[in-house]
Amino acid sequence: MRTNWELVNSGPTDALQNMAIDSAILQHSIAIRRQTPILRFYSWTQPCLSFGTNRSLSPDVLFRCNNSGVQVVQRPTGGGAVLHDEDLTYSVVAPSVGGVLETYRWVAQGLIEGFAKLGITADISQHSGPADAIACFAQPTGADLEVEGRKICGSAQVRRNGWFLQHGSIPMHDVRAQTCQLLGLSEVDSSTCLNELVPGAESQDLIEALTEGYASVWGAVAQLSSNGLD
Amino acid sequence: MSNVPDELRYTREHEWARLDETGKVTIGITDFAQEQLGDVVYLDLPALEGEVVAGESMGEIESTKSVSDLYSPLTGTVDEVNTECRDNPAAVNQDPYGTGWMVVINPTDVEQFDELMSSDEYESFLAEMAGEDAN
Repeated sequence: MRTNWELVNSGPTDALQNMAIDSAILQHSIAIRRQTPILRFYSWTQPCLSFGTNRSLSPDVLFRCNNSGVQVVQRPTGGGAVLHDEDLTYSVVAPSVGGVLETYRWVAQGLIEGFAKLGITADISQHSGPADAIACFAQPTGADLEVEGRKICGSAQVRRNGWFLQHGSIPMHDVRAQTCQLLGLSEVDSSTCLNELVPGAESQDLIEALTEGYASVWGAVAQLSSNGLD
Repeated sequence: MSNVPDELRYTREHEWARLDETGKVTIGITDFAQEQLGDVVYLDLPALEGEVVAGESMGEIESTKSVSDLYSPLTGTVDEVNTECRDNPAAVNQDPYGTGWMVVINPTDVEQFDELMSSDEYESFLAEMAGEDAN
């Protein structure tokens, strides 16, 4: 199947702006009934703990974030807390392609192919994570990608009026200890990060690999000079 | 294989509807929907006596995998809200057609109920979706 995609490469952006842009692309796509999927890559100008739309963070967590210079932002999607510290975040906005799991599988095709370009064999997790896990990376679920049982990409989704926004985080470096410290958790989870799998890999290498991945699955990915809101 | 009870009506957004003898309609999400969503962790349901419109959002459901709108299958007034389910959303996964019901609607036009899909039609719709996914 051939589907043209459009690519937005935002680079490092402020936390609130990052979430606002993702939400705006979703709202705009619904408003103009955009059929072309948009793939956006971005990072964060300073470390940030994001958390799901209907979740809350305890005062202790907020206090530790404040003391550590970590921003806090609520995502328009669901799910637990994710520390964005030199990670690469992707987002996809597209018309509905089926149920929740079908959508994750649909988006995952390009990501899996992209990881393969870096020599990484990633697959959709078959596990079912705990419903109330505070840390998104605590355990892989069917929404996530893993490498040999260790989570490499945690994703979350919101579905509105026949369109969806899905975004996910790929840690470049090991931030597990820092995540646990911020969230007050004692056990470090078994997730992995890009530099454990490909030592020395840079964020730009990952962006190029994932863009190639989407292009090889879907046929065409055109870079937009704008932010996807035209 | 998802459970699709014969006596209910269904929507393309995977809600079910049950008409009682007083003309009121109980709404929930289907077994297929709860399987897709995974563990439901949060429910935002409409207010009692609030107005809902067929095909429009009346609330929100969050699971470990997704946040989605809840669509009203019918136009009418909210007659009952399942606050126990709202406080314990796991009921949606455990018993989607029973304790996992969400709201009762007093429909403006009960004939809208007859326009919803029968169990056979909904099963065909699910099969069609599965076929599209396989392709």
